[in-house]
Amino acid sequence: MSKSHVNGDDLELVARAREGDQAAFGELVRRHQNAVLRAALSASASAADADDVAQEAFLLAYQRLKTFRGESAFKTWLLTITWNQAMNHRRRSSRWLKRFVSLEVKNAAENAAGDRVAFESLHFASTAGSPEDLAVHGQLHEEIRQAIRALPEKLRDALLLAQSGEYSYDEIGAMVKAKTGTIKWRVSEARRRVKERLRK
Amino acid sequence: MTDDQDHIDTLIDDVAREMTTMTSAQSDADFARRVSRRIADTGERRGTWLTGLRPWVLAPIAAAIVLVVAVMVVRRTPETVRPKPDATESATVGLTFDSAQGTPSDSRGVKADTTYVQPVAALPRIVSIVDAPAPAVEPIEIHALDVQPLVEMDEIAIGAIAIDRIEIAAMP
Repeated sequence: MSKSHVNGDDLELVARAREGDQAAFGELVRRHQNAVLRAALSASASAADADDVAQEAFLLAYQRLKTFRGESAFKTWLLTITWNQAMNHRRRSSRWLKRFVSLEVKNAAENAAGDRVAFESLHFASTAGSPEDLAVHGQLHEEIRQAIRALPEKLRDALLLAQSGEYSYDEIGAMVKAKTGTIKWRVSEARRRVKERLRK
Repeated sequence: MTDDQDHIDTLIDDVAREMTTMTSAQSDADFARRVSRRIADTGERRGTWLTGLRPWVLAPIAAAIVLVVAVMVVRRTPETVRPKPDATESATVGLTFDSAQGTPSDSRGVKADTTYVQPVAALPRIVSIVDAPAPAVEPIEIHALDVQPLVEMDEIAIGAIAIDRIEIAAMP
């Protein structure tokens, strides 16, 4: 890989990759792999699935490089491809996913009493550092994780994408084909539902 | 209470961030290498497939397909249609009985196969009715028709009816 690849902007790298420069495309992969992997991880049930989706997204982007007209940023274009791939993957494994989510919901319901205790003792857990407090904190952590998993897909996707720290609300909107205001509402609603679930 | 709310919000955000955090194995430089390898593999597969689609490979295949279709079309034209041999006839045509062996055989002494079918070429050629010449038929001449009576009956004797007079009443 030459230094010009490292220093060049995305459009320059795209132009080089179109001409068959594999190193230029490799640099694009390195630049955006975190964003792509996080988006894939937001929509996938496992890290292995996310890795597969991310690889497929880059492969598809490479094959469709000639259709990129530069109307949006390369990152946005790439993330849209990634999200579409992730949604296709999700649809393919929807049966498995439904089973997975329902299992999580069942587990969460079984531990509802524990949730309340954990939520009420949150303040103490955040300020104290005893082993007991840490255990309660860890339990709460896990309950929040389960509550997020049990969210409706659109709310969960918005929350995970927003909190990944890789994308702006505009980028998320472009990715999931929704308005920026809608994404903000979904994130807020997701937080509200998680808190509500923890109170029950 | 507001502090608690803020803290739980922060905690939710932290957990959400963790859920999209990659392990070092996922985000390492090896990922780019794996993508590169996958692109190369796909390119090779596509190349192999494209080789099979090149014109000099496709042309003979296309020619063979055209030839097969042409043969099928020619065979289906009415003039070349041959009738199927009659199964009842084919079992006896060309067979003689070999008394020494007790089995039917043909003139070459080969043991007859009861499933033997006379060659199609030996059958008379069937010409389409439309194409056949009109048959020459001599006119039939008839002098008279002699028709016998269908029923013969004896005479019927009817006696006279005796009536003295007929009285008709006066009209009103």
